[in-house]
Amino acid sequence: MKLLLFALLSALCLLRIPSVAKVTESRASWLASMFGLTALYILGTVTPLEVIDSYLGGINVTNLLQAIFALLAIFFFNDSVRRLANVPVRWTYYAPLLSIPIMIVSFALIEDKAPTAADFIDSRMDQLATATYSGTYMLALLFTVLRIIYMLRHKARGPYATFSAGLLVVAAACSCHITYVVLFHFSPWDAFAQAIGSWFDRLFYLGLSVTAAGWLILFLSKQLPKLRLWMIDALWLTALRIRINADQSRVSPAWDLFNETLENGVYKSLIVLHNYQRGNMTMFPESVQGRISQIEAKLDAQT
Amino acid sequence: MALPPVPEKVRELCGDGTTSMKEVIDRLTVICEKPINLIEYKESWGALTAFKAEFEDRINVYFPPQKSRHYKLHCIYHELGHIYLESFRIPLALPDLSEEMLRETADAISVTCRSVPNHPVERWVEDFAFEMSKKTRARSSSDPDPFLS
Repeated sequence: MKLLLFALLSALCLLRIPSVAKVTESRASWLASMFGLTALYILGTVTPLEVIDSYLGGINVTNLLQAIFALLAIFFFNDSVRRLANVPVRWTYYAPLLSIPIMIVSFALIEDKAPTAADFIDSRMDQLATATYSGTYMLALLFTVLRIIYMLRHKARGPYATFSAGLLVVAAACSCHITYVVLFHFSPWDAFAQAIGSWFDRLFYLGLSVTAAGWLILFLSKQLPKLRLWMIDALWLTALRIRINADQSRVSPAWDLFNETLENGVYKSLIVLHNYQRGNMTMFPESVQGRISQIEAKLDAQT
Repeated sequence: MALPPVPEKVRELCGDGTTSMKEVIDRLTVICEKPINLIEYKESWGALTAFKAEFEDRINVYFPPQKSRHYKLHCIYHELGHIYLESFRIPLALPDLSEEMLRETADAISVTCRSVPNHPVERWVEDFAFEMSKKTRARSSSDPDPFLS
């Protein structure tokens, strides 16, 4: 499940690089996927955990780092949902980040942190510092995830239903872990607590995978038709601008292609080519003019 | 000469979301306290794309007949950009004829002039026209989706 999530997030990160350069609003969600990828990497999904942790002193600092990165991933995801839902920033917006210093301090107070182990938390759950560290991390995650679900409530029936469904599973996973921490540390029912806690991994990665898969499918279903519609025209117009030297700078046509959305890039190229014709009091050959008119008609149809 | 950022000024003029040329002209009319008239002028234009002329009681934007609707609107937005930029009353080295020059040349049969190529004001109003085109071409909301863009 971790590998599947890693693959989904990698695809999202790579495919969205062009839009991150162009659209400010898309940067937070891209950062979320990057932090998610980093957290999964640190968890030993690709490189063995022991190797990564050995560079950090072999005392399970990787556990703390993956927790911080996972929290940041959810935080930036939350920020994008906030923008999507037009929710203003309040003090509670930053509240989950306050858990990071608490996590760092409580992690530092855990005794006998070596050796590197995937079950670092479970094997030290008898310590109050571990319970505080792990509990704070999960509470911050749960708080943020629940707020995302709340902000998505109006969009949950629409294309973002998979986000809400996946995050509900993540919230269930966090609740399982918090129950485990509380029961294990403050009650005599250790075995029962461990049984509940064992559901965390399955639910957590399942929920995140559903969310990431929904996101990737939505992204592709929106971007592929646009690419099919405009890519050939955008490249043809850019090539024409370069061939006839329509711009003062030879870099401009390529920059517009990269810096604008495809549709805006097509529009910009059309204007530059009209300017060129006006400025030089010239007309393109009929075939070229015909193609330009066709593209304009297409642009009209989209408006 | 520091020119204000175009997207910020476009947002101030039209807010977020979509707009139309009529809305833009209405708002500029309020800002300039003069009616703005769009006049399709069928005479010979040579290499000119459009121009605006300000009078005591009105501002006229002249543009040639164009086959391309997009290009026609773009040229008009370019001139509206000039009107908007001048409303900020920033001291600019405008590539325009001054009042004295206009008086001096009032009886001339023709006037030619040369300004610095790629002038910042021309770049600003061209960027304004591009921004406006985005806001008028968008079908619903110009706010990009933070997940799907």
